[in-house]
Amino acid sequence: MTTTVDRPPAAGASRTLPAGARSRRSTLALTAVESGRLLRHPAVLAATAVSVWLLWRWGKGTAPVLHYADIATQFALAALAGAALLATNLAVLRSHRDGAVDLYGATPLSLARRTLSHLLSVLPLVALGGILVVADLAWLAGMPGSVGTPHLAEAATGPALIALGGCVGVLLGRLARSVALAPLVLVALVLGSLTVAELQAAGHDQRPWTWLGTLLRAPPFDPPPAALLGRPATWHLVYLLGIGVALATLALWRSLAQERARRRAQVAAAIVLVAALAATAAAAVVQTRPTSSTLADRRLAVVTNPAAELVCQRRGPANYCVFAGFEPQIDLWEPTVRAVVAAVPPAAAARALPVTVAHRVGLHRLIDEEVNLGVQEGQGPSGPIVAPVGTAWGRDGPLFELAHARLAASVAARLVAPTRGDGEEPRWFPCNAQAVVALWLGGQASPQAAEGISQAVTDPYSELFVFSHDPVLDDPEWDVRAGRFALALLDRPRDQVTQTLWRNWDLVTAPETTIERLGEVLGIQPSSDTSNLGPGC
Amino acid sequence: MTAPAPTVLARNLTMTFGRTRALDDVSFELVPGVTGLLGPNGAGKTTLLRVLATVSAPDTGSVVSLGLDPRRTDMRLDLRGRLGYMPQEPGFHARFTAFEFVDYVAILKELHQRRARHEEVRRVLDLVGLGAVRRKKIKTLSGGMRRRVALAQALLGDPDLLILDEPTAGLDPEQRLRFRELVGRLGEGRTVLLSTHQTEDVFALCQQVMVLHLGKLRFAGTPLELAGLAQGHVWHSHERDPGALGAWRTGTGQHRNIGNPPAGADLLEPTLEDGYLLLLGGDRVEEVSA
Repeated sequence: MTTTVDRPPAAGASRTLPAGARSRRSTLALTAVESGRLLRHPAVLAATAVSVWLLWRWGKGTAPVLHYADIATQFALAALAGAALLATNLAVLRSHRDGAVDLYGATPLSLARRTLSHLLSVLPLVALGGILVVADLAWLAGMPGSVGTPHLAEAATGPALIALGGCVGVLLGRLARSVALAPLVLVALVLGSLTVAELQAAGHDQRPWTWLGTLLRAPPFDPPPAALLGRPATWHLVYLLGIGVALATLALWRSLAQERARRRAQVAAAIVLVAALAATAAAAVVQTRPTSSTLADRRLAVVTNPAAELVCQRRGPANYCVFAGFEPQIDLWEPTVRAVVAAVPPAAAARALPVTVAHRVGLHRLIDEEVNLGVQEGQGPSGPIVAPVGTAWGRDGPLFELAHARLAASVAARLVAPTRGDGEEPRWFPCNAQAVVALWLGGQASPQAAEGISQAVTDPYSELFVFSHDPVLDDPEWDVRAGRFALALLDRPRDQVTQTLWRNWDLVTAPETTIERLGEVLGIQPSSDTSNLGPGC
Repeated sequence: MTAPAPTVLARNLTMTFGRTRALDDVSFELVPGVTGLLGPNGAGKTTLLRVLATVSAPDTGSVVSLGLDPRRTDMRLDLRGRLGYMPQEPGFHARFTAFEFVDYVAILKELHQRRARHEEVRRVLDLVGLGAVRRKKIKTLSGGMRRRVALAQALLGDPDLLILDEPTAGLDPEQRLRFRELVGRLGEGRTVLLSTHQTEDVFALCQQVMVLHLGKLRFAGTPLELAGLAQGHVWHSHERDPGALGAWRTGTGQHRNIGNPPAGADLLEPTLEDGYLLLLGGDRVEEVSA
């Protein structure tokens, strides 16, 4: 220790400012320090890694629909929201944990201002979440086949969740001095969110109150056009922000009360709290309103008369009908369609072409149950018989493989039996040799299609299977036995099978030709299980 | 020469925790310079320092420090900006470096300009001899170094009122010597209140001394006046005098007795410690001299 005691210039300079300005600047200085510590907190670093990994994992190899991808960012950022809750709580409780309450209590920066600093310190983490969302959506927008436009409110919901997590952490720290409380609250929130998400699985529009949760599950696998989603994203964002402001104000109010602050400040906090609660309540009411009849009618129209919602364009052997704005997806389907067509004898193909490939999305979870039943009892969607394809598309993953298989097998079915399905029965149940040939044609089109067929056949729900995650009424239902035989064929040399099929094309595609007969032609013994040949046979 | 104006005026301070009266109608004045606060454990020293540091408010009574009444919010915050407080247990954040910890407290003291604040942090760390280890995490520092970190934060912003609670606990003799030099210089023009068990620190440093016992202020005056209380009450003998309030065997092999000496006793010049022990009474003498 030295004994030279100099008068520091810093102290004097600081005191020349008015007390209010000094406190404000010190609050910001403390915010900067706490922000830095928050961003370096192990929980936040781990959660950032998890969020980045999830965004990369979910986006990699997909043909993204951006007005769906923005919803997925909310789930990815949930990890950061949890980390914000834990890390801010620990920061608020630092003085209690380390026994520095007396030391802090003797300093001029008030408890309320310290609380404000902790609340503001979450903002850089919120900004980090925003950067992740923007980077993710920009990355996805640059991918081949990317369609749609992100919704600002959906994209902002993930960062808002981080802010909310921070506010919960700060408030808990000001309400209780136990570090065990925040993890318990976090577990309760996670369990609550999972429960709400499960309830939503059967149809979130039928349970509008589930919007009172925080993290909301995305609707069906195949994204419908943005106009049909009907998510009250903006009001939900207002709802979340309202809760966040209310919690933050409660934390400030608590701090003001603890330090015997002026009544004026407490009254101001109370006014902000009431305003935040009012905004939250209003947003809660609006976002839980039932679906408008206009939207319900449009959704129903997509199921009953999808042709009216689609725009078509002819490319090569197919006529592609897609939702407006989804045209870039056609480029992704073309190789599969061409590969199927190329495996059919040209003369037979000429008789069947052009095939109509059309978007079909399952909106059952978005449509009221009673209306939905009415559709199933009717004649199904009007318009020409099509090869249905979903709006979700990608290279990797079981669901995307099923999407490949759905398109390839549906196109093959239209080539093998171009007239089936034109009658009164809207749903076609391919079976017999026709089904085997169609599935083989689909499976040989791409590795993903073959994998999708394998998935569906290996673990079928019943003796019939569909490739769609959310099947629509004109999705073919395939016979499992035919599928198993097709898989056996796919294991054989492709050229050899092609030659045999082409030589016997009329026979193997005749509706009455059995699988056993096809086996004789191909020299393969089919499975002896003939207990169910499918309703179409 | 006129007496310096008091910088701290405490009147009738009373504070109760349950059935324990930690402060019992305590009144005193502090003037610039170093004032020692002596008292056994549980005397109410820390409670008094917390009141002066505005950490807690007394049940009754008032304090005006540096002309500011902490009962008023604006004055309380202003006063906090002008005092330095070193609690008995500062509550270090072990994962912070020495620099980060003092810097954090500097922000709480509203030293908001980053560059100037960092200069100030370096200054106080140099002042307590920790400039070379400022980048080390506090958990890696020795107990003595931590006490110096605690002292460093109290010196931030050149406070007009410095309140130090047991600052020399855990310091080795050399560090204590340097600490005395530092506090002695700090006491020039400032008001320093130093709570301690070490009577030799008080004798070496303080112009004034107060003794607190069971929440009551038992003495306020100069160290010499406190020592003077024992004038004629300290004697030595070959055996422990049974009539003494307290006695202990010294290094010479003789016993030093405190109390009412017998006739013809070999009286000794009293020290500040003798006065303190006599003031506290025989029961305390046994305890403190043990």
